[in-house]
Amino acid sequence: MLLGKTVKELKEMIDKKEVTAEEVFSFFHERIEKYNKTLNAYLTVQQKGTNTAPGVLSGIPLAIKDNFCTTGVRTTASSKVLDDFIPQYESTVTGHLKDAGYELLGKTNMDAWAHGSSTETSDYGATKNPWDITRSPGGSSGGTAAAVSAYLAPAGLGSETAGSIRQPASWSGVVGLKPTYGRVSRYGVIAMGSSLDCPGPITLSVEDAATIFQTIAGNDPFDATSSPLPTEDYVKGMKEKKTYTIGIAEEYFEGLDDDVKNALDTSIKIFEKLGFKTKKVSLLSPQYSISVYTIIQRAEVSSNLARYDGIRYGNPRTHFGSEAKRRSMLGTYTLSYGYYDAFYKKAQKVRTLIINDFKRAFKEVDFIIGTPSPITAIKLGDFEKYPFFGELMDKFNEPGAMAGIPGINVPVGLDRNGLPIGMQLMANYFRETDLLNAAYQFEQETDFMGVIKKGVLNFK
Amino acid sequence: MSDKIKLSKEEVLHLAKLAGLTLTEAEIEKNSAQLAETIDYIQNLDELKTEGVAPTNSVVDLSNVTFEDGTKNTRGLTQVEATANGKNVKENAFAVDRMM
Repeated sequence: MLLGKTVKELKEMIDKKEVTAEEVFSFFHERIEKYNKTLNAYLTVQQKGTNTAPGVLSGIPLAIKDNFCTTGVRTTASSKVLDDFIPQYESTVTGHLKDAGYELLGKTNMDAWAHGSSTETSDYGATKNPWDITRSPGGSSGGTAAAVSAYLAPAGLGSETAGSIRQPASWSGVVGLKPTYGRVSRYGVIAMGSSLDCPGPITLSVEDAATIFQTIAGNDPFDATSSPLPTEDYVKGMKEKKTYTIGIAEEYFEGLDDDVKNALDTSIKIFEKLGFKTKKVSLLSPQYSISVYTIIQRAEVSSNLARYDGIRYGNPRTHFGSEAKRRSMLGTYTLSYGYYDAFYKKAQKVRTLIINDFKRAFKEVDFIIGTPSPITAIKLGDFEKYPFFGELMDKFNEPGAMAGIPGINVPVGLDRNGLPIGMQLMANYFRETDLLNAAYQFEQETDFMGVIKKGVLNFK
Repeated sequence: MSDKIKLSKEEVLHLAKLAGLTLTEAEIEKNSAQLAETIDYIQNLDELKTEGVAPTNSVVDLSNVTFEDGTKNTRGLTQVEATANGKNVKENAFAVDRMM
């Protein structure tokens, strides 16, 4: 009865007293007990719901990535350094979810410190893709994406530095929204790249993404980089019939797998059918964003990971895994005397070029269409073969992440192996309403929920 | 900067020391190759002209974000909370090795 229901549908059932909040929680808890051994999507599982706050999410259990501090509930960021860390305070976003009545279902696996695109760098083992358990669900928010995809949660929270929401959403066949940097508070989120990090929802429908985004977005006095601009009514705004101009940039169609390319071509036709216009635009090659991202993110990583001294909380620095060490050292290198100008400052300047480039493009078009990943889910273990592979695979997400603009992944079908393909729209700063609007129209037109639910029902 | 960068064992160990990290022999080996490979790649930025371009520190257009005077601190931790996760805590204070 409950299998595959969206947050919205579950909430309606609870409100109509067709099901109780306890029953909903038990339903997911039982599924987790049954399937998590296979998927390894959750690191910590809650035994029961305790939140009685009335709100738009009351009775709705959610999966939360393990880098959000949750008071009294172990939070590891999938690193042994934080193996026994119990936060004494709540992240702003999970606090908002609490106020809206949500239940914490559990904390989900991720790449350790969010360093990676496959969950394979997790110190607690990789998460498996529910569509094919020999494959990666993507990452770093792979645990949440897999949990939602296998319906071990109706929705959840991920966080993105460059691709960590959109790419796992794409590989796992679910919706993932990466908001504008600063739209959602970073307070209480274990930091990776502080000038990039951005929490966002991973869901089964665009409307659920809008609802959760609505709940977590807004200014936070405890995050000095959070935007003071007012939020909008995203759910309402999403449903107004509008047409937009979609930008097609050749640079974002390079090196795509044939099936992915065909799915994007089909998506463009669907948008045209909806009355959208399309226009060719040219953008700076994502190749440069890979470098800018690598330099700036590693620099911020080396600074953020410096705080783990094993004295105030957590284990000593000897507990860091290989990837965290590699990133810290590269960051240390590019920030070193003699290299700072050549690498870090240069990257900051190119970051300006990337921002200007998007601003120019968004004068002509409303969105840039593309995909979060040039390929579909790869076999577990394949990332390890190529040290730089993750960054290359995330090249379509890195430019937007460097600029801080929002993007959304929506599933657009399956490839020849039956694996989900994701389509991505990127928009100008704070244009989440429009982004959700276009994605919602696309969803109504294509019923890609059918595709997603096939995945949910297939996983046994 | 077009020459292939190589990182010696000493350089890798120096970086590890600066970052407060300990490396296994295998990690030293692996990192000197992989760090060099990455550093090699990121030099493609030299293809772009950035003279006169201002660096971006943050994408949000904000500066000097402060609390209003008199704002109540609602998220401060008590001493017990602040030391709750410490491995070596004595009388609600962190105990550390002697510095001198």
